[in-house]
Amino acid sequence: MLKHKIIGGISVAALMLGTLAVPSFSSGAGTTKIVALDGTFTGFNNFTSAQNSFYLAQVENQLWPSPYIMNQAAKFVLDTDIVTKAVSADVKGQQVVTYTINPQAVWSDGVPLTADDFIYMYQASSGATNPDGSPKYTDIDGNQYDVAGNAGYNQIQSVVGSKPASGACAPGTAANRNVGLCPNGKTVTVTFMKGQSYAEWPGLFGLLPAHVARVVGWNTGMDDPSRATADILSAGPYVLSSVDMANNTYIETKNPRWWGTPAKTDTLVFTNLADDTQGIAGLAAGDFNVFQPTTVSASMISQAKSQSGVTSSVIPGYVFEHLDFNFKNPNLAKLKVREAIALAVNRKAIIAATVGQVNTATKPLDNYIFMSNQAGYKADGAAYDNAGSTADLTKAKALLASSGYVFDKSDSKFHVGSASGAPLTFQLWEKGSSVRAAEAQIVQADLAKIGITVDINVASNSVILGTDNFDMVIFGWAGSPLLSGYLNIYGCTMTAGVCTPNSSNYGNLADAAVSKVMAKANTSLTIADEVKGYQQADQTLWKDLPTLPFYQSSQGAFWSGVSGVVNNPTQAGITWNAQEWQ
Amino acid sequence: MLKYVLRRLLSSLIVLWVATVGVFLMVVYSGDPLFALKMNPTTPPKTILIREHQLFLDRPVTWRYWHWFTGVLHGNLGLDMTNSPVKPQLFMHMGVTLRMVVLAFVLAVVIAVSLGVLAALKRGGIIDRSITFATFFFLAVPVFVTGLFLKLYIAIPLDKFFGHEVLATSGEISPVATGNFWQRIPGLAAHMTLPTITLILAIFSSWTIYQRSTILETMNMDHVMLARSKGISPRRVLLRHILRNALIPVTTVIALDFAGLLGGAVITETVYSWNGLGRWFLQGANNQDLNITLAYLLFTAVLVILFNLLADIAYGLLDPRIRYR
Repeated sequence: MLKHKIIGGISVAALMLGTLAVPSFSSGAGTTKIVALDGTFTGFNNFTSAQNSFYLAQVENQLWPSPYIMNQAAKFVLDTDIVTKAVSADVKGQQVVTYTINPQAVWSDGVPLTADDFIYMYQASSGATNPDGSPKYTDIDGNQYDVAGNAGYNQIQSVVGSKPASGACAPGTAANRNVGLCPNGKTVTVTFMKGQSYAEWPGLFGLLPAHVARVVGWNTGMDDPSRATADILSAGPYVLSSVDMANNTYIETKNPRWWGTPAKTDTLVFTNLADDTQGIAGLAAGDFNVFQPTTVSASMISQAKSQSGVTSSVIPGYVFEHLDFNFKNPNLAKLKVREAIALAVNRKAIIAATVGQVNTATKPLDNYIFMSNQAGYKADGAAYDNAGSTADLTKAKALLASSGYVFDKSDSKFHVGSASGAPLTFQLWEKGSSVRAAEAQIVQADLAKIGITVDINVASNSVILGTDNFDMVIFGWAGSPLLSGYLNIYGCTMTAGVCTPNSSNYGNLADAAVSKVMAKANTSLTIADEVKGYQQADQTLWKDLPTLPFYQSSQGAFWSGVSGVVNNPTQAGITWNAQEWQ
Repeated sequence: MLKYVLRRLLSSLIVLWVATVGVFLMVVYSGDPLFALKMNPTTPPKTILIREHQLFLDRPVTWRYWHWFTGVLHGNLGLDMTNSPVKPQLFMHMGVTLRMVVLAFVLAVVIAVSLGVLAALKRGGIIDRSITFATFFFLAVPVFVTGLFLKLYIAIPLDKFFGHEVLATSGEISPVATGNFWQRIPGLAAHMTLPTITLILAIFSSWTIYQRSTILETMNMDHVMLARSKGISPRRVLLRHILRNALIPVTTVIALDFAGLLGGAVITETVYSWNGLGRWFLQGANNQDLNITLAYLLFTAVLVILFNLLADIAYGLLDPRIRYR
């Protein structure tokens, strides 16, 4: 009898456990739009390298403001709700940017948005050091600030406020390191170092509430989910009103203090999607309204087409696939060998076998820096568009022959040194996905046509890249409309007369001239000048052939039961204009 | 008995230690956990150095293992790649998985034992054949197929037919649910139904087959024959003489499967978007997050050892003939 009671008790407890332990939610009344969140995070300061993620950015797009928004055409658009005016000028050889903060702008706790928010962001992100090399600014616990990126901030000389709303500048405090900087100012003057202009300045100063971060800390102070709704203040159309980490669900309701045009939807919900393959089914079932997969697939598109009411958007994204050559390999260090490879690899066939099934409009990428839908794109690599044709294969073989390799008709292979020498062979690495495997097999087959042997090896990119244990490797770069990062990918740094490849320059190209052009472009005053510099760099890069770009990946987005959604291929992501959704 | 338990515990701890060393080395040498950060060309080199220091990547592998091991002995599972403590995350995700698994497990046990007994009693008949067919069918069907079928061809059409959510297909609760606990019960039930059915269909088959065969085996034993010849009622023979003995081996299998089920509900969690242990582990493994991977291993390994031990103890309790040395 006792056993029966025990078993009965366990059964009832099990039945109850499923329901009793589930946390509760409470969303606001009115219209609600639900966004699928296909990734998780554990903290809320997206400016730290530890927490920085695309998923967190989607949740915070409508909370943490920035002077400029990057629209779907990758153009910076001034957000006049935050900054009514922003002017960049050359003042005696130094770039000076002046922001005029919207006088109505306040954080959701009522504290006005001021120069101190800009000052704090500069302090945390600049990486400035004292003469002894120690960090000039540190977090509240004395540790260095952990920042996801400091591009641009490291070129700033000073950030100073002025014209406070009350008429008098607050003195600032030593603890906040803002004495004499007019932290309560409503105008912010950012002065760049001499000769260190930064054309991409509109991308700076994504803001977080400095008055909170100065108290709780930057590095981990904003990671406590139980305090998130209090600490993650908003200066946007929505406020964070509910956090449930266990269910990866976050709810945002309208910001009662928002001074701009009210959002068209009352409540935004971000909810868990464990796997992108379930995204379209989730839309069809009404589990969510908006779904932006990390990687769009042909099956998602066909599934979406079969569901009534589901809208699809597939546009060129900023991730581009390419074949990286390692210059440490003496054969690949020869330009003619790289040219021969570029003439033999049929990029159109690669596209047809992979991304072409998702987006039939995809063409070979003929630029190292600009994407085809980006202002500044020129088809500098068009000479290789018909690679694999009989004429190009003949040309490729001639290039190899003129480089000293000997073609042996008996095995149809080029050999090093003489016909009895070792066949010209390269180790090609790919990470093992179906797409990469298909690409590698096409490269292997195409290069066999010109007598080059390719051995395909499979390993995670994190194992191969950063080592010199590869001859060629296929991987994707997550490109950006912001150009300055390309110096790290293709550039090198002069040290004692030697051009040492930069940290992301895995192929070891060391072209001091092209590095100089890119470095100069990175200190341009205007985007037009920067673009001009990088266009020049691209033309040189096609002469160097450090890699062979294949194609731009596609960025997909799907939605149902909502209007006003605009697919944005930049890092801004799908929620960039969520205030317009209805 | 105590001596036996202690001996088993000791050998289990050795196995556990070897497993942690193996997993530690596998994760450490599976790639650079900061690779994603390094792939971003705008990441400041100083940031990478700071993160390497925080994650002890600048220390020898042996030092890192010892640091983790001594931490575990003090109940500290370390920090994950985002500097967030692992232990609260483990418990948080375990809660989600438990909410999915426990109900399915209990129902599956009841169903499996009932069907196993029924099939054995009706051996060779239409009921037995139907049950046998069904069990082998569900044994052969992968869990993701069952999950997707229920979701795409049952739940979604049903929801569309009724014009509102009857069977939920994502998450353990509607993100827009409102009201108090009692008002939310229908919603909770709608969210639990499909994952529970999917898990039951995934696990009940092998137990049913096993239960059927143990019943059949026991039915032919001498003591059962004797009981029958004494004129004891068939019901009493079944419950006291057959089922009690036939449950012993099944108990072991079920106990072991529960541990595996907790760790292996990953596919059901994925299909129905529950943010449970399986997904947490997969993300950790994909990110080469050492402490998350090790915490998951530790959790599942301890569960397997514990349930193994419990099964052995239960074996002894259910069958007085079994004595441990």
